[in-house]
Amino acid sequence: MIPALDDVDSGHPERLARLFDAHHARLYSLARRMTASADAARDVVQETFLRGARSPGSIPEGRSQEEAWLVRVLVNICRDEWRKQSVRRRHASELPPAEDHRSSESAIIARSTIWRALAELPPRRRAAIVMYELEGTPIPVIAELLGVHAVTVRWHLSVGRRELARLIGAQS
Amino acid sequence: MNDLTSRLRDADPVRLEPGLAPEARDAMRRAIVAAAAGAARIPRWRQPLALAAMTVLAVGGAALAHRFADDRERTRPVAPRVAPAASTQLQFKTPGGTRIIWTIDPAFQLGGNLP
Repeated sequence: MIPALDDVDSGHPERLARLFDAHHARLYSLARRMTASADAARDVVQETFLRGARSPGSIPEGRSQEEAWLVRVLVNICRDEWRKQSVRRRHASELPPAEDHRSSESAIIARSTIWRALAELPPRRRAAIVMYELEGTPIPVIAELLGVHAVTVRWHLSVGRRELARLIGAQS
Repeated sequence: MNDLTSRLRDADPVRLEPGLAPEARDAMRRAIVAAAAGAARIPRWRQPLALAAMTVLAVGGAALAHRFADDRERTRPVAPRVAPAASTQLQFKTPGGTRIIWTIDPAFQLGGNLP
């Protein structure tokens, strides 16, 4: 049986292409700050858009709603990965060993220390810290993007800063 | 700017790395558009239809399995009655009421009966 033309969503690939063009750069920046490597960031961005491609009806209309949907999917993908890594880490003892401090330059050590500490935070908290501290996104906008209340974002920021300070202190 | 913010900005990979390469970006875009085109080729009416078909199959399968289990229950071997005189009987009862009775002779020796 050949489906009627109306039954097939022929505009979906075009919409995905438009979504990709509009949001890929912003999502890649967020993904890169949420993951350990550029490859991982690419995978996360691609998976985010692929989820949109697989479920056409789930992406809301409107630029800010689209962006919020994509950011939430991206954070969820990071959360799945973070959980898997947490289990692996639990089996392989605690934090990964620090790099050789004697042979590395101090700037590299400092970078590695802060990003390893950041990697310990739950993804939603990390996203809040990244968006607020690095992207300069206002708290109400972060709340909208993550689909939580502004109070929750403030709480994530406060707890996240404390956790980062503790982790950086423990590693250095 | 506090210490944490400045440390985060100093270590920011987005600032330190070149970003998404145009080839990688184009390849990703192609993959996403192809996936979207693949999803769009499945007509919308087919999704609920497929779900309904799967439900019918699952219910039908469960009903068949239940009936098969009933039949097996009815034809299962009746517990063997051990005859006091050392011979063993194995009885089967079919749904039609026919009984099959096997009498097993404990003195039977396979080697001894072969030519």
